[in-house]
Amino acid sequence: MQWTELAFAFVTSTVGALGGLGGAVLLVPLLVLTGTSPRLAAPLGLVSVAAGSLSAAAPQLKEHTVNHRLGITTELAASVGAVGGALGSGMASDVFLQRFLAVVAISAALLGGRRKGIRNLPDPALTAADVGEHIGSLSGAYPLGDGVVPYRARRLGAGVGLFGVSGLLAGMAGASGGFIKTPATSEVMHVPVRVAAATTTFTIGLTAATGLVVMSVQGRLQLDHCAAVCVGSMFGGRVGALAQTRLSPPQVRRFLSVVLVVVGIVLLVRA
Amino acid sequence: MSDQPAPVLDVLPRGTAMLLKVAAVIALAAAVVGTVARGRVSSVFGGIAVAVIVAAPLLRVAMLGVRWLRIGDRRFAAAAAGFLLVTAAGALLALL
Repeated sequence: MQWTELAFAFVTSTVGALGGLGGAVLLVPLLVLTGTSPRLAAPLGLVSVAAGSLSAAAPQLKEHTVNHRLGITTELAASVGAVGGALGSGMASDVFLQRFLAVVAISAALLGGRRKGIRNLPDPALTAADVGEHIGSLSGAYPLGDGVVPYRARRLGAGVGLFGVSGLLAGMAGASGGFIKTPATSEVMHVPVRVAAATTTFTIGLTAATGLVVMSVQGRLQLDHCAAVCVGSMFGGRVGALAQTRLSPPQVRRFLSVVLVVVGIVLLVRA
Repeated sequence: MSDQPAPVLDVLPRGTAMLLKVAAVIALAAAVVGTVARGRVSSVFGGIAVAVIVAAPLLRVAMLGVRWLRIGDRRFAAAAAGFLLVTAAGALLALL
């Protein structure tokens, strides 16, 4: 039995679901540091992301924090970027990519950690009947405490551009890109952080599914190891998603900033 | 007073939550067997778990795309179809 992989997957998926990052960006470096080859660690990272995302899906649907239109619109750019990144992966060195990712992660942490308070406030005119996403637009409302908070995604062009970049980096470096997507959705597109985190948890599951289809065709999946990672990630994803619903947006944002700094330092050390 | 029409709330396609719950239970059960068992049994059940966690989100997008097409939300139905096409193209490229 693969106890180490199971334990690593549980811890990293809990953290990943809590911040809407996915666990791969933490799990893959841990696996590589403990002796797994990067070629085999990358698909295990994607299994962790896909399993954690599936595990978190039902609770997040119940909370109405996922905006599917926003997720699929932005994921379209990310998936095109991922295909481009995979095709052009030989053009940039691993060291350059890891340093670049570290700078992006730490910048996102500073950007998110600098902001105080809650940008999107509850609207007293809205009730529980108004919770959900709106037809034909990238807007909606989500429950926060006893209130309902309306939101609308802004600066779509910049957000989609960043998602394309995150997909490009994901295709090149093998990370899920969640640590770019959540801050991009929250800080650039002004979507509430809990909606941003939940929507990213949905979209990184899509990215991981696409990557796993390709890697299974390439014969890179060790299925017995995948099973252990899947178990750890599903429990971890569920714990993280439940914890996310009990924390306030500033708490989630602070937690996200700390995790991003850790990720950035891990990437710099690896580079 | 704004000229913009009031936003209309959407509902998820029927069965989405159930699909995700059932998929999660099947994937978890298969993964537990795959983790505890050894040899070929472990690989078979690990394979089932991976197949389910890959298929479920893609099916979710397909269901959303069909729903949006039915209610006339064509822009987002096209985005869902586009995503599935990119995924299919990625698999085809890997086969080549």
